[in-house]
Amino acid sequence: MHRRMVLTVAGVIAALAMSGPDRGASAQAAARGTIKGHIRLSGEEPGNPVIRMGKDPMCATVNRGKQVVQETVLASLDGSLANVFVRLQGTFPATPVPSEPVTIDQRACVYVPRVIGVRVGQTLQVRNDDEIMHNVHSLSVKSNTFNVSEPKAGMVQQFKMKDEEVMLRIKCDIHSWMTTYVGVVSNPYFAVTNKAGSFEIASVPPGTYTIVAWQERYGPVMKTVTVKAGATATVDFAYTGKEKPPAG
Amino acid sequence: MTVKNDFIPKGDPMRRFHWLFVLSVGVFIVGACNSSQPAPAAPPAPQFRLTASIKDIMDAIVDPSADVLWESVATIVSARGTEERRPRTDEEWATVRRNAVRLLEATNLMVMEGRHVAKPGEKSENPGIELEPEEMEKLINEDRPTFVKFAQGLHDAAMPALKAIDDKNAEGLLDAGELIDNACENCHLKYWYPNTAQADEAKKSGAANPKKG
Repeated sequence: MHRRMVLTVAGVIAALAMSGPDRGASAQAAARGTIKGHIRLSGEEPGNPVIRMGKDPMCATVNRGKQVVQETVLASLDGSLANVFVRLQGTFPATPVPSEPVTIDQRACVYVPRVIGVRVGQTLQVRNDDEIMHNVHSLSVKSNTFNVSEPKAGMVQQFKMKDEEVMLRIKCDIHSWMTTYVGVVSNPYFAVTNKAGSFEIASVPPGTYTIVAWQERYGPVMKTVTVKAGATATVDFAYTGKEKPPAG
Repeated sequence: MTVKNDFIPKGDPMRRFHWLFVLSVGVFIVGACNSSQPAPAAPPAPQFRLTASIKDIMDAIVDPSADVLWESVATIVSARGTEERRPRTDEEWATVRRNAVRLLEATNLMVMEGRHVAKPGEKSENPGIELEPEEMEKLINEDRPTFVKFAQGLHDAAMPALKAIDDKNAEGLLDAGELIDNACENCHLKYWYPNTAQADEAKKSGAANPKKG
């Protein structure tokens, strides 16, 4: 009798342990899949122009001795493309919007990073790291419009993203070459390719989705991907270099 | 008192015939004059035979010509290295000049009366962002002088490029490229994608209105 009770209590404790937060998270992870991929440019790399910063001598001074380029097509020798925004399209179960802001810096008279993603409802913050006056001007066709000055180093402006918008271009009216692109999306399943042209989207619910890649000069390309629980799906994209640039 | 009237023939049938002949000729001349009054004028034959749309001209002449000017002077950095791009030989300068001339004269082609924005039935490639061709055409026809000023604005913006080319001044050509870019964008904000945030800003700053010529 006593032994049976001990075993029962031990079983309950074990069951509780298995249903604890860690176990729950790992069980959930096992029920999800991952998408990995690589994006390359198969055509000739066009190169990027060096930015002429002579209009603002302070920017020219900050960058003296450097060749800062307009990173419109950031490709390596093997064609691997960085700064491509990749996302899943579709309807997904609701997930909490991160409370931490996504940050873009105005550093040495360019926006860093050039391409980034943020959730609808999340805060995007733009920080001026320069002792130079900049402004932050979004060119939204939705409700993500803002246009504010950041005259001093250390200033931070925060904006809550209201609508899905792929892509939202942000510029600086004072320095016409300063540009960054923000993918504002309603689900957490997005990524930006690194310098090796690679991306990874984790914890994706099983299912079949449209996956869309967007490149600043060559625009969107899409494929279909099927994600299985506990497995990794691979999706590679190749731009020819002849794709039409996005309008506007 | 009698009045001698030699003018009125009397008696002689030959003289009477002569008088009738003179009268008939007079009547004929008056009739002929009347018949040469202008009939309802036929419309003049068209002076030009327009074939292409404004969109065609943009695609075939303006855009590629401007690209040659913009891309002729630049420092290009790629994974392969750095390229200082600028015309160096006479032939390279001549190529750039041909494109400057094409761009300049295309501004006249665009404003010719009767030229349509696009082919019938052609649709916007980005509806909602760009206007439809018929909407652009309506905007142009509602205020044609403004459209002409935008086109002339592009012409005038391209003139410094031609001068820089004739002077073989690469830096000048680079600077002129920015003027051309601004002229293009101002016109696009007015007629192509006027409902974007950029267009709103341009309206506030006055950039979407051409300079008074």
